Amino acid sequence: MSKFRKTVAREVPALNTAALPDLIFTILFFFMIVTSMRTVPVRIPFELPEATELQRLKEKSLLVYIMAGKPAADEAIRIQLNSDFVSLEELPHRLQALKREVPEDGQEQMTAVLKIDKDTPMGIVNDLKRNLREAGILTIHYSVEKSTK
Amino acid sequence: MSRPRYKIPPINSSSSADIAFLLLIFFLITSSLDSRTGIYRKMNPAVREALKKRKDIQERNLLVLTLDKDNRLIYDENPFPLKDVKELSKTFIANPGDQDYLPEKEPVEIAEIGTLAVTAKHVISLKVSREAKYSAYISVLNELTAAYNELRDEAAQTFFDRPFNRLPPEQQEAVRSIYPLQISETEGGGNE
Repeated sequence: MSKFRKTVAREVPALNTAALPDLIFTILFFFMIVTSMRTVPVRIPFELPEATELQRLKEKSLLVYIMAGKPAADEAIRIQLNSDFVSLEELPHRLQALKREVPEDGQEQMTAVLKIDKDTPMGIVNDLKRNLREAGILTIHYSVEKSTK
Repeated sequence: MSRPRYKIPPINSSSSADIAFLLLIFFLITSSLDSRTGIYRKMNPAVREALKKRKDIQERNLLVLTLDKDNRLIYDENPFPLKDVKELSKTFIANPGDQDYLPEKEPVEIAEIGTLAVTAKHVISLKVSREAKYSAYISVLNELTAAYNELRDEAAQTFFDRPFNRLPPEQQEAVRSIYPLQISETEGGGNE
Protein backbone atom coordinates (compact mmCIF):
# COMPACT_ATOMS: atom_id res chain seq x y z
CA MET A 1 0.00 0.00 0.00
CA SER A 2 2.55 2.54 0.96
CA LYS A 3 4.48 3.37 -2.05
CA PHE A 4 7.49 4.98 -0.41
CA ARG A 5 8.38 2.59 2.32
CA LYS A 6 10.95 0.27 1.06
CA THR A 7 11.95 -2.64 3.11
CA VAL A 8 15.54 -2.75 1.99
CA ALA A 9 18.08 -3.86 4.57
CA ARG A 10 20.14 -0.70 5.18
CA GLU A 11 23.73 -0.90 6.26
CA VAL A 12 25.43 1.57 8.62
CA PRO A 13 28.74 2.57 6.99
CA ALA A 14 31.90 1.71 8.88
CA LEU A 15 33.41 4.51 10.93
CA ASN A 16 36.34 5.95 9.07
CA THR A 17 39.32 5.90 11.42
CA ALA A 18 41.91 6.84 8.85
CA ALA A 19 42.50 10.24 10.49
CA LEU A 20 42.86 8.86 14.00
CA PRO A 21 46.63 8.21 13.79
CA ASP A 22 47.06 11.79 12.60
CA LEU A 23 45.32 13.01 15.73
CA ILE A 24 47.52 10.90 17.95
CA PHE A 25 50.62 12.06 16.13
CA THR A 26 49.55 15.66 16.71
CA ILE A 27 49.37 14.99 20.45
CA LEU A 28 52.74 13.24 20.29
CA PHE A 29 54.39 16.16 18.53
CA PHE A 30 52.79 18.60 20.92
CA PHE A 31 54.34 16.77 23.86
CA MET A 32 57.67 16.51 22.14
CA ILE A 33 57.78 20.25 21.57
CA VAL A 34 56.59 21.51 24.95
CA THR A 35 58.61 19.18 27.14
CA SER A 36 62.21 19.92 27.82
CA MET A 37 64.26 16.87 28.48
CA ARG A 38 66.44 16.62 31.50
CA THR A 39 70.00 16.14 30.34
CA VAL A 40 71.76 15.43 33.60
CA PRO A 41 70.66 12.99 36.27
CA VAL A 42 69.68 14.56 39.56
CA ARG A 43 71.34 12.93 42.55
CA ILE A 44 70.45 15.48 45.16
CA PRO A 45 66.86 16.10 46.11
CA PHE A 46 66.28 19.83 46.19
CA GLU A 47 63.41 22.17 46.66
CA LEU A 48 63.82 25.29 44.60
CA PRO A 49 63.00 28.72 46.05
CA GLU A 50 60.02 30.63 44.73
CA ALA A 51 59.98 33.86 42.79
CA THR A 52 57.72 35.90 40.55
CA GLU A 53 60.11 37.52 38.07
CA LEU A 54 60.78 34.54 35.86
CA GLN A 55 62.81 34.26 32.73
CA ARG A 56 62.97 31.12 30.71
CA LEU A 57 66.34 29.58 30.11
CA LYS A 58 67.14 30.63 26.56
CA GLU A 59 70.19 28.58 25.74
CA LYS A 60 69.89 24.90 25.12
CA SER A 61 73.56 24.12 24.79
CA LEU A 62 76.71 25.18 26.63
CA LEU A 63 74.98 24.74 29.94
CA VAL A 64 76.78 23.88 33.13
CA TYR A 65 74.46 22.40 35.70
CA ILE A 66 75.36 22.93 39.32
CA MET A 67 73.15 21.53 42.02
CA ALA A 68 73.53 21.82 45.74
CA GLY A 69 71.54 20.40 48.57
CA LYS A 70 71.44 17.78 51.26
CA PRO A 71 71.17 14.19 50.04
CA ALA A 72 69.37 13.37 53.29
CA ALA A 73 68.05 15.54 56.09
CA ASP A 74 70.97 14.92 58.46
CA GLU A 75 73.78 14.91 55.92
CA ALA A 76 76.12 17.68 54.88
CA ILE A 77 75.42 19.71 51.78
CA ARG A 78 76.89 18.26 48.63
CA ILE A 79 77.55 19.81 45.27
CA GLN A 80 76.81 18.17 41.98
CA LEU A 81 78.46 19.45 38.82
CA ASN A 82 76.69 18.14 35.75
CA SER A 83 76.37 14.44 36.57
CA ASP A 84 78.77 13.82 39.43
CA PHE A 85 79.51 14.99 42.92
CA VAL A 86 82.40 17.36 43.42
CA SER A 87 83.92 19.02 46.44
CA LEU A 88 84.42 22.77 46.59
CA GLU A 89 88.18 22.26 46.35
CA GLU A 90 88.09 20.42 43.06
CA LEU A 91 85.42 22.64 41.55
CA PRO A 92 87.88 25.09 39.90
CA HIS A 93 89.70 22.25 38.05
CA ARG A 94 86.45 20.69 36.96
CA LEU A 95 85.12 24.00 35.67
CA GLN A 96 88.35 24.60 33.77
CA ALA A 97 88.11 21.12 32.28
CA LEU A 98 84.56 21.82 31.19
CA LYS A 99 85.64 25.07 29.65
CA ARG A 100 88.39 23.42 27.65
CA GLU A 101 85.84 21.16 25.99
CA VAL A 102 84.05 24.17 24.58
CA PRO A 103 85.51 25.90 21.52
CA GLU A 104 86.99 29.31 22.17
CA ASP A 105 84.19 31.34 20.59
CA GLY A 106 81.54 29.56 22.57
CA GLN A 107 83.08 30.09 25.98
CA GLU A 108 81.46 33.49 26.33
CA GLN A 109 78.03 31.98 26.01
CA MET A 110 78.46 29.37 28.69
CA THR A 111 75.67 29.58 31.22
CA ALA A 112 75.68 28.11 34.69
CA VAL A 113 72.31 26.76 35.76
CA LEU A 114 72.15 26.84 39.53
CA LYS A 115 69.64 24.50 41.07
CA ILE A 116 70.11 25.04 44.73
CA ASP A 117 67.98 23.92 47.61
CA LYS A 118 66.24 26.83 49.28
CA ASP A 119 67.67 26.10 52.73
CA THR A 120 71.29 26.18 51.58
CA PRO A 121 73.36 28.80 53.43
CA MET A 122 74.51 31.65 51.22
CA GLY A 123 78.16 30.96 52.05
CA ILE A 124 78.11 27.93 49.78
CA VAL A 125 76.25 29.80 47.05
CA ASN A 126 78.81 32.60 47.23
CA ASP A 127 81.67 30.09 46.99
CA LEU A 128 80.05 28.57 43.92
CA LYS A 129 79.61 31.98 42.35
CA ARG A 130 83.19 32.98 43.12
CA ASN A 131 84.45 29.80 41.48
CA LEU A 132 82.30 30.40 38.44
CA ARG A 133 83.50 33.95 38.17
CA GLU A 134 87.12 32.88 38.39
CA ALA A 135 86.53 30.24 35.75
CA GLY A 136 85.06 32.92 33.51
CA ILE A 137 81.53 31.58 33.42
CA LEU A 138 79.69 34.80 34.01
CA THR A 139 76.10 34.18 33.04
CA ILE A 140 74.10 32.59 35.80
CA HIS A 141 70.59 31.28 35.74
CA TYR A 142 69.16 30.73 39.18
CA SER A 143 66.51 28.07 38.80
CA VAL A 144 63.40 29.04 40.69
CA GLU A 145 59.86 27.87 40.90
CA LYS A 146 56.97 30.10 40.01
CA SER A 147 55.52 31.58 43.16
CA THR A 148 52.03 30.33 43.87
CA LYS A 149 51.08 33.31 45.99
CA MET B 1 43.44 -7.84 -25.25
CA SER B 2 42.09 -6.40 -22.04
CA ARG B 3 43.39 -7.70 -18.78
CA PRO B 4 40.99 -8.51 -16.06
CA ARG B 5 40.72 -5.49 -13.75
CA TYR B 6 41.64 -6.32 -10.18
CA LYS B 7 40.12 -4.32 -7.44
CA ILE B 8 42.80 -3.29 -4.91
CA PRO B 9 41.50 -3.64 -1.38
CA PRO B 10 42.10 -0.58 0.86
CA ILE B 11 44.94 -0.87 3.32
CA ASN B 12 43.57 -1.54 6.73
CA SER B 13 44.94 1.29 8.81
CA SER B 14 42.89 0.82 11.93
CA SER B 15 45.92 -0.35 13.91
CA SER B 16 48.19 2.56 13.00
CA ALA B 17 46.42 4.59 15.65
CA ASP B 18 47.52 2.00 18.17
CA ILE B 19 51.10 2.28 16.97
CA ALA B 20 50.98 6.04 17.37
CA PHE B 21 49.53 5.59 20.84
CA LEU B 22 52.38 3.29 21.77
CA LEU B 23 54.87 5.94 20.67
CA LEU B 24 53.04 8.60 22.64
CA ILE B 25 52.93 6.54 25.82
CA PHE B 26 56.57 5.50 25.44
CA PHE B 27 57.54 9.13 25.14
CA LEU B 28 55.46 10.18 28.11
CA ILE B 29 57.03 7.54 30.31
CA THR B 30 60.66 7.99 29.33
CA SER B 31 60.81 11.78 29.28
CA SER B 32 61.80 13.44 32.51
CA LEU B 33 60.54 16.94 32.72
CA ASP B 34 62.84 19.75 33.63
CA SER B 35 61.82 23.20 34.75
CA ARG B 36 63.46 25.98 32.80
CA THR B 37 62.26 28.98 34.75
CA GLY B 38 64.64 31.12 36.69
CA ILE B 39 66.38 34.44 37.12
CA TYR B 40 69.27 35.47 34.91
CA ARG B 41 72.23 37.34 36.30
CA LYS B 42 75.42 38.45 34.65
CA MET B 43 78.48 38.63 36.87
CA ASN B 44 81.34 41.02 36.34
CA PRO B 45 84.63 39.46 35.24
CA ALA B 46 87.04 38.84 38.10
CA VAL B 47 89.43 41.57 37.03
CA ARG B 48 86.80 44.24 36.71
CA GLU B 49 85.45 43.42 40.13
CA ALA B 50 88.85 44.10 41.68
CA LEU B 51 89.17 47.41 39.84
CA LYS B 52 85.66 48.50 40.74
CA LYS B 53 86.44 48.48 44.43
CA ARG B 54 88.89 51.32 43.88
CA LYS B 55 86.31 53.59 42.33
CA ASP B 56 84.83 55.42 45.25
CA ILE B 57 81.11 55.71 45.03
CA GLN B 58 79.38 58.75 46.37
CA GLU B 59 77.00 58.01 49.17
CA ARG B 60 73.94 59.32 47.35
CA ASN B 61 74.56 56.83 44.56
CA LEU B 62 74.62 53.87 46.88
CA LEU B 63 71.76 51.87 48.34
CA VAL B 64 73.00 49.37 50.88
CA LEU B 65 70.79 46.42 51.74
CA THR B 66 72.00 43.78 54.14
CA LEU B 67 70.70 40.27 54.57
CA ASP B 68 71.82 39.09 57.98
CA LYS B 69 72.29 35.60 59.34
CA ASP B 70 68.70 35.41 60.59
CA ASN B 71 67.42 36.12 57.08
CA ARG B 72 66.32 39.61 58.05
CA LEU B 73 66.73 42.43 55.62
CA ILE B 74 68.49 45.44 57.11
CA TYR B 75 68.32 48.89 55.59
CA ASP B 76 69.86 51.86 57.38
CA GLU B 77 70.55 49.70 60.44
CA ASN B 78 66.91 48.80 60.91
CA PRO B 79 64.93 45.77 59.74
CA PHE B 80 63.13 46.53 56.53
CA PRO B 81 60.03 44.73 55.26
CA LEU B 82 60.65 42.72 52.11
CA LYS B 83 57.46 43.87 50.43
CA ASP B 84 58.65 47.49 50.45
CA VAL B 85 62.00 46.73 48.82
CA LYS B 86 60.51 47.08 45.36
CA GLU B 87 59.13 50.58 46.00
CA LEU B 88 62.31 51.64 47.76
CA SER B 89 64.59 50.49 44.98
CA LYS B 90 62.28 51.85 42.27
CA THR B 91 62.44 55.31 43.82
CA PHE B 92 66.17 54.92 44.29
CA ILE B 93 66.89 53.80 40.73
CA ALA B 94 64.64 56.29 38.97
CA ASN B 95 65.02 59.35 41.24
CA PRO B 96 61.76 60.74 39.86
CA GLY B 97 61.89 64.14 41.62
CA ASP B 98 65.61 64.69 40.97
CA GLN B 99 66.24 64.80 44.73
CA ASP B 100 69.71 65.53 45.99
CA TYR B 101 69.74 62.55 48.35
CA LEU B 102 68.99 60.10 45.55
CA PRO B 103 71.44 59.07 42.77
CA GLU B 104 72.64 61.91 40.58
CA LYS B 105 71.28 62.10 37.08
CA GLU B 106 73.44 62.79 34.09
CA PRO B 107 72.49 63.18 30.45
CA VAL B 108 73.25 60.04 28.46
CA GLU B 109 72.94 59.62 24.73
CA ILE B 110 70.66 56.66 24.10
CA ALA B 111 70.08 55.20 20.66
CA GLU B 112 66.45 55.26 19.46
CA ILE B 113 65.39 57.69 22.21
CA GLY B 114 67.86 60.56 22.37
CA THR B 115 69.56 62.27 25.25
CA LEU B 116 68.02 61.52 28.61
CA ALA B 117 68.92 62.20 32.22
CA VAL B 118 69.79 58.82 33.67
CA THR B 119 71.00 57.73 37.09
CA ALA B 120 73.93 55.99 35.45
CA LYS B 121 76.05 55.78 38.57
CA HIS B 122 73.55 54.23 40.97
CA VAL B 123 74.61 51.03 42.65
CA ILE B 124 72.50 48.75 44.79
CA SER B 125 74.84 47.01 47.16
CA LEU B 126 73.55 43.76 48.57
CA LYS B 127 75.49 42.38 51.48
CA VAL B 128 74.66 38.81 52.25
CA SER B 129 75.70 36.93 55.36
CA ARG B 130 77.19 33.50 54.82
CA GLU B 131 74.56 31.98 57.05
CA ALA B 132 71.56 33.51 55.34
CA LYS B 133 69.32 31.09 53.51
CA TYR B 134 69.36 30.84 49.76
CA SER B 135 65.58 31.29 49.60
CA ALA B 136 65.83 34.62 51.47
CA TYR B 137 68.49 35.78 49.04
CA ILE B 138 66.38 34.76 46.06
CA SER B 139 63.36 36.64 47.40
CA VAL B 140 65.42 39.82 47.79
CA LEU B 141 66.89 39.32 44.33
CA ASN B 142 63.38 38.77 43.03
CA GLU B 143 62.15 42.08 44.48
CA LEU B 144 65.11 43.96 43.01
CA THR B 145 64.55 42.34 39.63
CA ALA B 146 60.87 43.26 39.89
CA ALA B 147 61.82 46.90 40.52
CA TYR B 148 63.99 47.01 37.39
CA ASN B 149 61.38 45.16 35.34
CA GLU B 150 58.61 47.56 36.36
CA LEU B 151 60.73 50.62 35.63
CA ARG B 152 61.71 49.24 32.24
CA ASP B 153 58.09 48.44 31.49
CA GLU B 154 57.07 51.98 32.36
CA ALA B 155 59.85 53.42 30.19
CA ALA B 156 58.90 51.12 27.32
CA GLN B 157 55.29 52.30 27.59
CA THR B 158 56.30 55.98 27.60
CA PHE B 159 58.72 55.84 24.70
CA PHE B 160 57.42 53.04 22.51
CA ASP B 161 53.81 52.47 23.67
CA ARG B 162 54.42 48.81 24.23
CA PRO B 163 55.42 46.61 27.16
CA PHE B 164 59.12 45.81 27.40
CA ASN B 165 58.75 42.16 26.42
CA ARG B 166 57.21 43.04 23.09
CA LEU B 167 59.84 45.49 21.94
CA PRO B 168 62.36 44.61 19.23
CA PRO B 169 65.86 43.81 20.57
CA GLU B 170 67.43 47.21 19.78
CA GLN B 171 64.65 49.08 21.58
CA GLN B 172 64.94 46.70 24.52
CA GLU B 173 68.61 47.54 24.63
CA ALA B 174 67.74 51.26 24.65
CA VAL B 175 65.30 50.84 27.53
CA ARG B 176 67.86 48.72 29.37
CA SER B 177 70.38 51.53 29.18
CA ILE B 178 67.90 53.94 30.78
CA TYR B 179 67.81 51.68 33.82
CA PRO B 180 71.02 49.65 33.75
CA LEU B 181 71.01 46.77 36.20
CA GLN B 182 73.67 47.58 38.75
CA ILE B 183 73.58 45.30 41.73
CA SER B 184 76.79 44.68 43.55
CA GLU B 185 76.88 41.66 45.80
CA THR B 186 79.30 41.28 48.64
CA GLU B 187 79.72 38.69 51.27
CA GLY B 188 79.36 39.41 54.95
CA GLY B 189 77.45 42.18 56.56
CA GLY B 190 75.89 42.79 59.90
CA ASN B 191 75.73 40.63 63.01
CA GLU B 192 78.44 38.23 61.94
